[in-house]
Amino acid sequence: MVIKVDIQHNFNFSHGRVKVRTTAEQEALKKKERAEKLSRYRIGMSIVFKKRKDKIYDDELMTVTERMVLQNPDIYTLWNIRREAFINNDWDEKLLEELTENCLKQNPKSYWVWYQRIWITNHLAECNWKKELMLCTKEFVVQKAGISPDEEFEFATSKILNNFSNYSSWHYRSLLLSKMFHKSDQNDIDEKKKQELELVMNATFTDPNDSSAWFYQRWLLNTHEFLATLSQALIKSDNVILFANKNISTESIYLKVNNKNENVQWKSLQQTKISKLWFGKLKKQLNETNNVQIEIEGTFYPLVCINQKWIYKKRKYKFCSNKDQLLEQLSSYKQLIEMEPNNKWAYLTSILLMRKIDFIKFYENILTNLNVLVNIDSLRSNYYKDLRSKYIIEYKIYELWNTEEDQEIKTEIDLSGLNLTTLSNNEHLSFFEQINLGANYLADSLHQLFILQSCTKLSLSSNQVKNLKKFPTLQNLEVLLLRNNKLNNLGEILQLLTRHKLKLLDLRENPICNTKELQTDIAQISPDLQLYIE
Amino acid sequence: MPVLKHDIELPASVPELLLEKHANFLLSYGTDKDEYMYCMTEHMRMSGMYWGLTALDLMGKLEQTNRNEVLEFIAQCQTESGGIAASLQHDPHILYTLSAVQILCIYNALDTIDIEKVVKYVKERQQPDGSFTGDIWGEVDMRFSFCAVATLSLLNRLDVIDVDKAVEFVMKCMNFDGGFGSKPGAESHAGMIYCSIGLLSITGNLHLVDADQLSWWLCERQLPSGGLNGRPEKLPDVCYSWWVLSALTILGRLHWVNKEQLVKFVLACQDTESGGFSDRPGDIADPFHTLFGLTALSLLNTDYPLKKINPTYCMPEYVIQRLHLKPARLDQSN
Repeated sequence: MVIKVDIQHNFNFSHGRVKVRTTAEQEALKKKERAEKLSRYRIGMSIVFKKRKDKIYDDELMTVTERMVLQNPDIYTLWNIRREAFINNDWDEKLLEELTENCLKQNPKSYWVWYQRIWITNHLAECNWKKELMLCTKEFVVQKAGISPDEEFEFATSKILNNFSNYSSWHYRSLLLSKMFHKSDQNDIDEKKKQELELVMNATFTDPNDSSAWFYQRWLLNTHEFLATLSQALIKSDNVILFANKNISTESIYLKVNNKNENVQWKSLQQTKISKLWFGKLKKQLNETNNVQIEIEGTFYPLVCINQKWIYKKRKYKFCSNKDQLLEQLSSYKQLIEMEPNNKWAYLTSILLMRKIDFIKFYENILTNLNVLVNIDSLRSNYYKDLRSKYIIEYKIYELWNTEEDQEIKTEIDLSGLNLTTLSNNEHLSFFEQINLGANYLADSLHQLFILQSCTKLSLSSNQVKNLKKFPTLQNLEVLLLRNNKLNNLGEILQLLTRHKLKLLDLRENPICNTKELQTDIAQISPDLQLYIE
Repeated sequence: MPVLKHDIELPASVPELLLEKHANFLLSYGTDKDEYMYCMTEHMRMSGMYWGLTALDLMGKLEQTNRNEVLEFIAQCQTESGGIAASLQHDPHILYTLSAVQILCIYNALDTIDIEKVVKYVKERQQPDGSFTGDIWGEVDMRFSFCAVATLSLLNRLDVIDVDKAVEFVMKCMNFDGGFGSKPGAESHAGMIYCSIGLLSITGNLHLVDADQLSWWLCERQLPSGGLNGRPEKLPDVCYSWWVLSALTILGRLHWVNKEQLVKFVLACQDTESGGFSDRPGDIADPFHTLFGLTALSLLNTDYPLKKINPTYCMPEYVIQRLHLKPARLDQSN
């Protein structure tokens, strides 16, 4: 039996066309049909191209091109030719007929048809915009029709109430809400968010296995900060490090010494124009009697001086204004989990709610939920492991803050043995000088070490590290502990040494230790290095 | 157990990778110039050729293609405007201009066309708001932004456009879910996310993206069948194995999807008789899905004998290195 394919137009959109077996008879018939179709196509195209060449934009051209785009709306050149015909003939009344509805019905995904529709509407003096709105909810139509945001919001609400699983409606709602957020004060935003959280919870309970509403809910539970604020800053000799809650450019950062702007050479990690994290170089060192402030987007942050270091630290978690509502929702989702013990969305949302209500208090519960997710949503187990790492690092830093005196910034952190799979680019890590990352799973995340810009002593022992290709250059690094890993490439280690001025390197319990040339080759590059290999 | 409305069931047995069949499927494409399917896809010929040639190169079969015939065809498709058309007598468009330039880079034959005129054509597409039109008729879309920036960077001529403005436009298309749509206000879609992330990767602006948020949305595209869809509550499709995986790779979070399950889905989409891949198991194979099936396997670092694909350009990595291009990725420190 011969297999033949059922061909419609164009394979770019050949989505969901099932391959079917046909008999020899059907086969012959199909072949004949196709030969005819092909010949019609060729004749049609040659007529069109000929007329275009001769600039004959007549009715026949319109009829032929219409027949052909109905067959295949993706022959884009035909739409161009039709537009040329409209322009050359000044056919206002014919434009109306061109609203391409038949083509859209046949192939709603064709970009070319949609654009023809937009082009025509742009060329029409009058258009039935309400009718357009029924066909699509594109912003373009709303702009043209002059529909108010309130009307729009109502429209979006009615769509959602009709069908909670309509991702497009949630998307649309987010657009309108974002616009409203920009114009409102914080109280109005909080109130609106409260209402939205209720609506979206209803949606998630209506169909807990539909993913649409959960995405919108996660967005609502995010903090929407519009103002940039300073999170932490440190000045030590002529070096400045600071990071903000969001990306800022150096033009909005001022270092004020005795109320005068100090000249600072700023650098971001990837040489980008905006960044959360900035590293600065001062022209001269500061004097202890100096009054030092950092100004970011109009807000001043005073730095305090201890032992020739100037520091600013924000050490509080944000207060959430709707704690009662969130607690109530948390208990609702607990019930949902009881009814549907495998509903990953309920677990994830519970985590997000707990994080928002009181991260420290719920820390253990959050980790428990994440461990459940690793198992019940195994396709994404690595995502949950990375999320767990992020939360663990945040918690450990918080713990450290609690042991910190007022006028102190801890320079040492122990993050060993925590099953970390990623460093998740936590900017706080840029301030630490001694970092223990031993006994984790960071072998595939070495590129993230780049954030450890102040680090002088680093342990990556027992991380199953196989290679050092992605190990970044850390200017201040002096001591590197790589004990009990899987390193076996001498070249990589030598390369690492040429990039750093290491004083101590621990390579014990690595396959590389059996390499004969190891010691002599290393001694050539770093003669004064203290090397542990056995 | 939750009932899945928008997924498929994989067939009981999944075939091995049938490289020989896929190569033959692509090599035979166009050998008969009167073949129905071939003729009826004339309006996208240039992209079709790019899909086929890239796939063949990944399989190490580029030498078996008809280099001279392809180059001659591309030269003929460049029009007076500088832009390149999908096929002879069709109109120039930025989609096909990129495809042509990609093919020429793979063949190492950029001198086939008038590069200055291509540069001029692409430059003329940029609008005051930073966006790009596809051709003279004015349609604006994220795909065209990517095509413009990718084309110019392959020609080492990014300096002729306002890159900052182009990036600004991309950021206006970012949505609540961290994804990107075809234009400001349009819904997130994995294909548009690839275009946006690709553009930000080429121009070194990945720091503008919340990589965790976006990558979570992307890894949520994986369905129990192992396949990926392009938007929530839609069916899986092999081509999203490319759009989603390439973006996740650039964002340094490829490990957030389950590789084994995805490989199984991709392999199940092979046509074991004619060769080639289809969108879903049992559907009709075509060059478009064949390329994206193979590129997905290449990105997933399977042991199959496939060349490495570059996630930003969707071209073999060796070609990108030969051009000395270094599109940014978040899994590299600097």
